[in-house]
This record gives sequence, structure tokens and C-alpha cells, in this order.
Amino acid sequence: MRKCLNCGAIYSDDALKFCDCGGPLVRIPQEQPEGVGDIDLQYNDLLLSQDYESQVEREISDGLKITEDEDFEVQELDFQRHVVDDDELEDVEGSFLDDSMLIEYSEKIPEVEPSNVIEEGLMNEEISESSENLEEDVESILREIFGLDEKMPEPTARMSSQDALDEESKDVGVWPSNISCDSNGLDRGQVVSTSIESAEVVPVQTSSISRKPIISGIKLTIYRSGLKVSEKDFWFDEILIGRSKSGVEVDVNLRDLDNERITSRKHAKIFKDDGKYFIQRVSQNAVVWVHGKFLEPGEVAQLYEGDRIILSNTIGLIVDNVQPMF
Amino acid sequence: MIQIHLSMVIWNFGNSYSLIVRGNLGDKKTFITVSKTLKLFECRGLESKEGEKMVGSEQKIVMTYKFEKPYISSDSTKDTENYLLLELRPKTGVVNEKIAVKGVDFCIVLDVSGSMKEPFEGNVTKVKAAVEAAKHLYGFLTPDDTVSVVLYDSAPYVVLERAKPTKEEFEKALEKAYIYGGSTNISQALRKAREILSKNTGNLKKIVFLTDGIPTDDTEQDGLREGRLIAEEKISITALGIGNDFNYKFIEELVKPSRGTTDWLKSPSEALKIFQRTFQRTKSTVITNVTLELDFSNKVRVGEYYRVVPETTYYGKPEFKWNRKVELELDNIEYNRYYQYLFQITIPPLKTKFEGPFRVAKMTLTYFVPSENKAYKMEEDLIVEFTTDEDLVTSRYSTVTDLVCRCQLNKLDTKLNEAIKVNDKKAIVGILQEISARAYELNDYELADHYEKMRDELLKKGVISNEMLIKASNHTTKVNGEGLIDEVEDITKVFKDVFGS
Repeated sequence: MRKCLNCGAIYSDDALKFCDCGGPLVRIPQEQPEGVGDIDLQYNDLLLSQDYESQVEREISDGLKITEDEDFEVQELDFQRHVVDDDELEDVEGSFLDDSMLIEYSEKIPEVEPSNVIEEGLMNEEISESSENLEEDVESILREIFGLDEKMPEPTARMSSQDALDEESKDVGVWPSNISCDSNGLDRGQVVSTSIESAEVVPVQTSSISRKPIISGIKLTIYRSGLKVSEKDFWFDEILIGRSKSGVEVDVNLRDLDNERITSRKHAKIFKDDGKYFIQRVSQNAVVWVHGKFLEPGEVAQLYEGDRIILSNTIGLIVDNVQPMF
Repeated sequence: MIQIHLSMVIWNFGNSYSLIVRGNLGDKKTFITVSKTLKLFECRGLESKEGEKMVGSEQKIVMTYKFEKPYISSDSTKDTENYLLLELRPKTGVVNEKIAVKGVDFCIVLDVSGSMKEPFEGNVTKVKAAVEAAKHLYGFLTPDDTVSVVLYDSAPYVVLERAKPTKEEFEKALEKAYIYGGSTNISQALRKAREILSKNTGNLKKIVFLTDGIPTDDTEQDGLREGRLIAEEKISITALGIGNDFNYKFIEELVKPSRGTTDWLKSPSEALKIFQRTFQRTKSTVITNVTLELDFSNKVRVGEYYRVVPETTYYGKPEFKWNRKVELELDNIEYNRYYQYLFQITIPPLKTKFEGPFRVAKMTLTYFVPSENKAYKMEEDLIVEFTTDEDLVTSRYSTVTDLVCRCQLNKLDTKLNEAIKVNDKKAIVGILQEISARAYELNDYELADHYEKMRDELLKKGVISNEMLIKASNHTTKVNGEGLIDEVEDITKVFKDVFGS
């Protein structure tokens, strides 16, 4: 058995020298030293082989005398790494839910209060900065950039039945980004948006349960002052967005869209990591808002279908998956 | 065991000359190489016993690689921007002219449009210079070769097809160029050449394409599409521009997919020299169908990439579809030339701190040796070292840094031509300033002055002459040399030159 020094992944193939992450693989003993169990390692082993499962389980219970479940608690990080990633997990979760379950599920979602919001860190951050003015500002910026009359691209094609709700959400100042929608066309965003209304707080991300991550290729649609300026598909590892006089260093040049020079030369970077796309604010001064989240300089956020990115008062992007040609 | 630790010394000689000495003797072997240009001493610890990291002892190609930053801090919490330089060269003592390809199917595609009848130098017209230069192919032909000649103006005219002509027949065919003279349709001519060469004969296939202008009866896009189709047929193309009216960037783009080369015929004597060199190079090919597959580790990201030599070419960013693999067709290998490719790489910080090797990518190189009728495969892990030694972390291969800067000149020139195409004057001025500054940094004063003159001309007259653009583009493709392998240097002489007696 070999273990990656970098990410900790375990391989049974002794011939391998490097992990898929690039980290070197080192040989690990088959048997755990008595009383010195590596919980993570043993759990990983469990995932690798059913035959090995019982053996390791015995070792764990014998060697470590585990009696309580919490003693065998698996790190969330390990779970994501070795089973499925967070988004995939949610997708898997979604696929098990039928319509009635979804309704039931939706009804169980509690009223959103700051303490209940999933993105707790984000919420606190936003609250510290938030004010009614800010909320209004963001809303008006969104209207300015993406326009009000034009029907915005939806996160999924199954959103057609939710236009009215979407518009309603905009009118009441709810962050008008992805109204989440499950694979059966049911909108779970409604519950969240209602809750947000009642909470009267700054824009909050809708539940990410049905948000589709951007994978493989990314489509960027650029808007300026309510008009769609251009759209382009990218398959690169990194896409640099900025205002460049020469256009040499950037993949998306904002120069001709930004006469007031509000955007930065190196404003934001979209990059691919483990097959998913993320955005990072590169600029120290120019702002980046993604799906209601204000990014600090250097901060990174994952991108999902339909996310609206604000780069200035008038310039914004909508991201989507590149649709397959067939 | 004796352990010797060499201290690190860096000497700066102006902007680009430096000397680095470092390393341990003991567990890891340390070696020193001296570059001919005396730009630096390069020392690095490797597992191999001597020389650079070499791959494939039974192979016909020696592949070496180096990262601009071979060591990365284990403590780093940020991405590390790096450059990977891959070099392929035919294996000394194994690969020589004796195993060069036996047969080549040549196809000469000559522009015979009206403008070719304009004077080139003295009384010599462009078409005359081209025909006379092309006649020299005959001297390189062997019994296994075939030759085709396609003349073109608004339509292609096949005057010789896959023939093994006598000298007289060959020259007579070429001289038919004097009777034509119309507008220009490049894509039709290239399509005809492709159709002729698409028949499989087992020979190497080569198009030598010459133009003096821009397409008039078709578009550049039509020509570029043909360029891609030619590459799919595994046909190599050399594109030559004659005079001052053609678009250098167009011919550069035309040959990109087939990893071809370009040149500028400035005078009849130059034309002769360049045609001869093109034929000679084709007949020097020893290895074909070279394909490089790079399977990058999960979180490693890839930016732009370049061919460094034999001709500097900016290829932009590779596209990743559904996995982390990039597959690239590389140049055919000549027995007396080396080939370098440069990749911009972003390496992520470690998840768990450790010291040791980190695989950036797994490389698979496949190629074919026609003289043996045998395909080869070579695999290698491309590795950087994570370390906590801060001295090592700050070390750089200045040769790689230098190459990066030179390659970026070609990129900037490409962007300049794009800006000119859309008449984006802001961008044109910005790029001219930037490229001139970069050229100064590299001590390439001739190029820097040239770009400054271009900017002055733009500001005074509002336009840049095509001749200046051609000269600049031609220069930036040759900025790293042509990769010819020199004779083995006398190391004693080099030391003497550096340190005196």
C-alpha cells in the first residue's frame, strides 16, 4: 500500500510513484502498529476494498477499542476527497429525492436567520458590511448591468416555469441570481427567497443544493449597462479578466467597456481546479461580487451555472457551462 | 562518505549574465554545465550520475527538461508560477545523416500572380528569383523522392505531379511560371498540393509554399483552414514570403498546425539560400510523427506555451476538454538540430507539508524512425522539488527566464498584428512600447530600435509600413536561433575565455 505525502490518498498499486495530485507516494505498512491507529488512513482503507474493510474494522476495534461512533468520526475533508466532492454529493442527494420528498424537504427548511444560513462566515461578513444602502446599491447595479427587461439566462433549462417568481424576487430586492431548481423542475429557491425577505438582510446565496457547478468548459457572457456585449467559450486552465491597453495579458479585455477606468488591469482570474471553475479577485481595489458574495482581494469562490459576477457599476459577467456540441 | 556543501554564489553581469554555483556532493550528485554563451553556470542536484536528466537509453531521442524554478518552498501557501522547458535532441552517436529519411514527396507551390512580375532586385523579377531558387531542389533529389509543382494565380496549375523528372523536365516545368499572371487564390493552390500529397507512398511529405501577397480571390481564413487540413494529412509545410507585400503573420499562422517554418526572401541571393536550406533540412529528417502527451497533475494549471526553436512560435493556451491531458504534434526531428518547447505552469501549494519530489506532469513521447520503420515510446515524470531550504527556493535557471522573455517578443508581435488587423490604435501603441522595452531588457537593441521606429512612423504617418512589420515578425521568429547543434566545444577553451589564463 502506498500513501500520498501531499493529499493522503491511498493506492494499492505498489508500482505507482506519484499520486494524481502530483505528490510522491510512500510505502505504508499493511498492519497498523498496536494502539497507534491512524484514523484517517484506516478509513481510507475502508473505502478501497470491501475485503479489507472487515479486517481493518477488526483492527480498529481491537487496537483502538472504539466503542463510540464519534471516535470513528471521519473528517469532512477526507470524505469529500475520497468519496465525492461537496457539489457532487448534493447532486447525488438530489437524485434520490422525488417531487413529494422535495416539497417535504422544502417545507422543512427553517426560516433563514443569520445563524441558520449555511454560509455562516459569509453571512457574518456581509452583516458587518451590510446596510440597506448597500443592498439597494447592489440591486441597482445588477439592474444597471444586466438590465431589467431582458429575461436572464437561467441556471438550468428547467427554469422556465419560474419566471414570475424570479421577477418577483428581483422586485423585492432578493439577490436575483440563481434561483435554485432541482432536476424535476421544482424550485427550492422559493423557500429561501421568502425567508430572506422576512429576514430583511443583505443578499444571501440561495441553497446550493441544486446549483450546477461549472465543469469542463466555461461560457462567459459579458454585459454592460443592460446590454449583452459578447459571449465566448473557454477551455483554458486560467482566464484573466482585466483592462488592458494592449490586450496582451488578458483573456477578457474590459478596456473598451470601461471608459472611466474603474476596473483593474488584472481584475479577476477564473481558474480550473479539480475540474471545477473558480473565480479569484486579483485586484486590490476594484470589486468583485459573485452570486451575492463580495470577494476580498485574493479571495476565491466556486462558480456555478448562471452566476452573475459584478466587476463595476456597469460591467458584469454571467457564467455558464459550455454546452456539448452533440 | 565525504559530504561537500558548495556555497551559492551569484554574480550579475549587467542584466542578463549571471553565474550560479550550488549543490551538495554526497547523497545527491551535483553537476555543472557551462553554456557556450557564457550566460551562466547551471548546477543542480539530480539522481542521475552525470549530465542532465536523460530519458531513454535505447531511444533515438534524448529528452531533457528543466523548470525555471526547480525548487519550491514547502511552506508556500500560494501558487507558484513556473516555466517548464522541454528539449528534444537526436541522440549523439546513434542518430546521424545515414538514417535520414530516404524518400520525400516534395510539392513546390509557387505564386505566379501578376505582382510576381514586379522587379525584385535590379532586373530580376520576383518570379524569376523564385524559379531560379526552386531549381536548386534538383540537386537534393534522390531516386526515392518525387516532386510536384503547383503554380497558382487565381487558380492552381499542376505542371508536375509526383514525378521523378530529369533536370531539364524539372526546370521546364518551373519556367512555366513566366506565362501566368492573375489574381491570387492561396487556398485553392494549397488544396491542390494537399490532394497530390495525400496519396500514401510511405515517403515524408513536404510542401514548400511561396507567396508575394495576400489572397485576393479567397480569404486568409480559407488559407488557414487549408493549413489545418494539411497538418491532418501529416504534411509538413514551409511558407516563404517574397518581397514586401505579403502578410508575415498569415504565413506564420498557416504553418502553425503542421509545425512548419517560415522565412522572408529579401533578395534573389537570399531566396537561393533559403530554398537550399529548406530542401536540405527536409532531407535531414530522421524522426517523424513526434507526439507529446502531457498528463498534468490534478491541481497543476497550464498557461501559454511556445515552440522556442527551431523557430519561435507562440501557441497560446492549450485547451483542456475532459481530462488533464494535452496532446501536441511536434516537429519532425533533423539529425543536426535540437527542439525546445516552453510551457507556463502554475504549481499549487502543498496540502500537507513535505520535502521531496512533486510530479507536475507525466510525459509520454511517441515517434517514428522511418529508416527502421519502427515506432518508439518514451515516458517520464516531470518533477519539481519541494524543499524548506530557502536558498534553493530562490534559485532560478536564468537560461529559462531568458528564453521566456525572448518567446514573449513573438507573442507581443502576434498581438501587435492582431491589433493592426482591427485598427486598434491604443493597443498598437501600447504593444509597440512594451515590445521595445522588452527588447531593450534583452539587450536586443536592433529589435528595440526597430519597434521604436515603427511607433514613430505610426505617430507621424498614422500607418506602419508592411516592410517594417515583416522585418519585425521575421526577427521575432528567429529570436532564439534555429537550434543547430554545434560541434562539441573545447571546454578548456571555454574556461580560458571566461576566466582568462
